[in-house]
Amino acid sequence: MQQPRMTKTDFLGNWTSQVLKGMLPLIVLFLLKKKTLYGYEMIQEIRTVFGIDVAEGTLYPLLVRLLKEDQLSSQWVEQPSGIPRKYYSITPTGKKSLTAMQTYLPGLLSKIN
Amino acid sequence: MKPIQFTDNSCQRVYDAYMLRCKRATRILSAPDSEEVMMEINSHIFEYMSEHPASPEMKTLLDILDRLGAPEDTLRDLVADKKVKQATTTYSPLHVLQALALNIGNGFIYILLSLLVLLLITFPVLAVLKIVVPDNVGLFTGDTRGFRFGFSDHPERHHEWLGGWFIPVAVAIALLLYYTIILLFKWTRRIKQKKISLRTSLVTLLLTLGAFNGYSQKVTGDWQGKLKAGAIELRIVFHVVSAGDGYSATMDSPDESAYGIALSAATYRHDTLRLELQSLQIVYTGVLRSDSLIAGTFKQGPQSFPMTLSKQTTALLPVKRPQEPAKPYPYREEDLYFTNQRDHIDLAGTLTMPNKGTNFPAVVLITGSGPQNRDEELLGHKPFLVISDYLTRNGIAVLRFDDRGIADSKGVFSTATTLDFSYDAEAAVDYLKGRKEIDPARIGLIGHSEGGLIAPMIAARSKDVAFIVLLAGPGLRGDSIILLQESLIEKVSGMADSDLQKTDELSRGALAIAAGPGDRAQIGQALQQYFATRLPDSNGSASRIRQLTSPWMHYFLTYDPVPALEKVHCPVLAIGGDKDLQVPAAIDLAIIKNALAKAGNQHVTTQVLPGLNHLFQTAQTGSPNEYSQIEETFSPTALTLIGNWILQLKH
Repeated sequence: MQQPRMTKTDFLGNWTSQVLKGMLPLIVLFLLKKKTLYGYEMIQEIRTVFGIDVAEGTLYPLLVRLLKEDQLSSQWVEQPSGIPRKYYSITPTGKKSLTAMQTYLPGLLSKIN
Repeated sequence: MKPIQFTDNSCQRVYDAYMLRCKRATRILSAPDSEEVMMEINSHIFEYMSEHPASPEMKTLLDILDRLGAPEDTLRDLVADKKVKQATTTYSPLHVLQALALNIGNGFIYILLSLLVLLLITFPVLAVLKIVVPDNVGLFTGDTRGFRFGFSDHPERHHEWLGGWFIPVAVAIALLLYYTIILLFKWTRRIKQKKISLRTSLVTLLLTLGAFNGYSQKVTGDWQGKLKAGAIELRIVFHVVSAGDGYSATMDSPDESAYGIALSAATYRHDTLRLELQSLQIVYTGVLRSDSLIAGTFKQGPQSFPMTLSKQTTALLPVKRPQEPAKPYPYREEDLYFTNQRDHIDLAGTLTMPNKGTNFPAVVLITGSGPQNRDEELLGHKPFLVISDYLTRNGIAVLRFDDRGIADSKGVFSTATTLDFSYDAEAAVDYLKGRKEIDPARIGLIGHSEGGLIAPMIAARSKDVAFIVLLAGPGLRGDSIILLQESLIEKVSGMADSDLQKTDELSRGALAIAAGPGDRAQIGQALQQYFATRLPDSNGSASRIRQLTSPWMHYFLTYDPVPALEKVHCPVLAIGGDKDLQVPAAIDLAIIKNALAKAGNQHVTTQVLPGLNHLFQTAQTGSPNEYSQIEETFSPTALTLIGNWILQLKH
């Protein structure tokens, strides 16, 4: 049986999703610099601002990691519904990382173009 | 954590099940960590639900659960990671071991760490050994292979250096190793984090796909259910097939003669089947409880009905059952419960009585073998419904009930024997005795097939039984009945004589083992051997062995009805059809007649009815293949015979 060949679109698709995945910490930090967000809201924001659909299974482990590395902090906020939301916000360390990322990226891109 | 409340019960079940899975997946974490994860998932589901108030609740819930993925996969890395954190901050050996177990699949470094832990364990063991056998443990030199730290069989050949210092040294090494492991752990974690996000999604994707493939086989097939809307009862059949990545389905409503209605949507996620027919505003949602059972709700417009689906193995044909009565009945009908006090089982039944009058003669109907409801429903026929309708219209009260463990009756069917069933029927007689509308001196039993074994059993031990009617009741012992019916059925289905002889021989041997001495396991083993040598190529013997070793089968095979019949002194009507291939009337009625004569019973009527099969349908050959195709449920001739016989009995 002949193996199906990887087409150009497959390759590009894979590459794009890998880039996006790599960009995700930057995206999260960027959004949280503007305002605090809870997990569900963050997925919505990423979709509206960047047009990217991030799966919950990808976002939450990332948030846990960023919390552990002191890039983010979190706080439970009670809601009228009785089901509280966990709001994430950016820490001073996170802000520094964001600035570094924001300068690194254009530098990298300028070398490619 | 405050759980989310759903308006739809099935939604609540799906949600509860999902949260339970999350809880299990995070069980290994400390209580606050687990609670934190659960709360965040809960909040996420809640937010999503509140954002989509317009769409159907079930669809929204399934969408979000789909996005969250299987908890076991989604939470796997999170849990493993948190556990490492716990282990490295608490230094508790238990946490370290748990973290190792969780992470062992995550790479070679963890295998190395595991080996280090094993090595670590040896030092405390040596320290203990030093106390037990001080001479054999130590740091030895003098051997050809340099020095040796540990155990020696021949301490006299070596020089030992440490003496009493061995224990502190061993403990120190153990501590050093332990600290190294912790450091390695922390270092590994830092490296691993750099690749975590990509790998997570890949693993999740693969596992989810695998899971769905595994489930898909279970949900496809023909599912049959009953829609009970007030007095109306409709049979509904869904045919679910795989289509591409998903499913498609059609619906039959045989009672409305509607077949193959294409459904607009069919989804199966998180063990939940959802079928939709937009044009008729029909939505069915149900949770797969086993390979052959779906519990759920049938909704049409604003109305909703609980509906259980069971897997249908044979195609359901549009059938006419002209004898089934239509409501309203010209008599009283009462659904009730009574208790088998002996075995503490609540049984559910229906009592029908004439509208007017009192002091009615009454009968209890006893079903044949196999799990049956109060109507003795089989192959689209409801013989007991037809019988009770006829008798009640003719002035006789009838109590019929669901077999234990079946329909609304409690108890367990699969482990019960014919003897157990006899106590259920006897409890029904006791119940009737307490009803003021019933004449306690005229309570009788009508037993069909296996019920024809049970009725004489009860009559032989109870004075409360005024008469018994045996419909195709056996006179032969169980094993003989089975052999005889097998060969008769094979013969009419056209099997050649030589093949017939072979299968008969095979069955004879198997039944001899099944009816023989030994416990269930021993018999099972013997049968396994028997089939393995006789039918080496067959793979169907497992289900055959299971059937042959059931408690019911063992009792039935060795039960001889004659001793009980010899103790029956009340009036007996025993009838059978001459086309009955399952309990051949001529033979069995002769045996029954003999046994009753031996008892000195003067009130015995036996009759072979021409043209009728085992179900008392007017039949061509009498083969069970015909049962469902024949429109007649129970011969009117037989009904008249039974009714008249009961009514002519003296008060």
